[in-house]
Amino acid sequence: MPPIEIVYTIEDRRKKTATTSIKLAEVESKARVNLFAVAWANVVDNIITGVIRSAIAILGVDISSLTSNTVTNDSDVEEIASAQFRSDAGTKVEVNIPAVLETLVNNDTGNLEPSAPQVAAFLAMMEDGIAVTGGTIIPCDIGEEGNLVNVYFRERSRNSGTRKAGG
Amino acid sequence: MLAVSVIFSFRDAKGKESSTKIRVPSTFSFAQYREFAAAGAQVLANMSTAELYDVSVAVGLDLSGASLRTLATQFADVFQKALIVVRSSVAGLFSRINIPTFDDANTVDGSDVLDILDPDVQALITLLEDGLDDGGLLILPVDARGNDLDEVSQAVEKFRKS
Repeated sequence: MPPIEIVYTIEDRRKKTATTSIKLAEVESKARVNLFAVAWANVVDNIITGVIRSAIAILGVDISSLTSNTVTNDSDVEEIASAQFRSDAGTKVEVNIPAVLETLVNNDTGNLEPSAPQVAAFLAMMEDGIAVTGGTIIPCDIGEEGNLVNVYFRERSRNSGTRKAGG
Repeated sequence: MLAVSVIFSFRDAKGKESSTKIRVPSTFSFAQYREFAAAGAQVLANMSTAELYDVSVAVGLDLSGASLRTLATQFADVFQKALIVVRSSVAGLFSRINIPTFDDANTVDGSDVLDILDPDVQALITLLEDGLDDGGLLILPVDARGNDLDEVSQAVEKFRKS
């Protein structure tokens, strides 16, 4: 697994931003990463003229044990399943799944078929969460409001998040 | 604190890439996020004909404990950087760190080399090379392969695009 990367965003006098980063061992805890992030921010701040606006930690995830993770010949990331949920606060939460498996789509309605096990598993993940060691992580909106309720889940053809030509 | 983002990146048969994001609360541990992300990756992989080639988690950090300037000086420019090259503990490997809006008051007079006698530069290099002591347990910066960083080999001012 790759190291944990702390990425700082720095802003100059014209409000232009750039990032700088530093890496720590993948085994470090959130508390220790935050402790180091504060110390590094302090020493960086002393040698710069801009403003450190934010810092995030990027964690790598081991996906080597995934199954059913092979690309098919007709795969196209612009063919997406678009799911919209609404949180307790009324905020829209959208998740677009690139290159959706067409057998999951109801041909008459264009909606994802909720009776399909894969679709049911996705909706259960979004609405009820996933059990992890010591708790359950339930998705939420950007302000951490939870209790997501599905509004629609249908096939679309459009850009799904950040898209770029591969090499 | 803003929610944590779990980012799933896909690649299709034509080599095009696309990512999707699921937000989760900020109150969990790194290990718990990784568990969620790995399980969520399988749920998404089961629904897609593309290859899920990368999963990462972006966790916001709290810098309220730092003493940071709140206004950029009139000379602040993100193109002006400090480039610091650090040798890792494995021979031949190194790490490069670019620090935007570098203040050239921290260079040796008449040179673009960072002044290692300057206390601010010294503090940065010491933290980079020796790490941070957390109750007797060091938190050590590493290179991209996870090897400890040993020694700064170059520290100069550069002008580069962001």
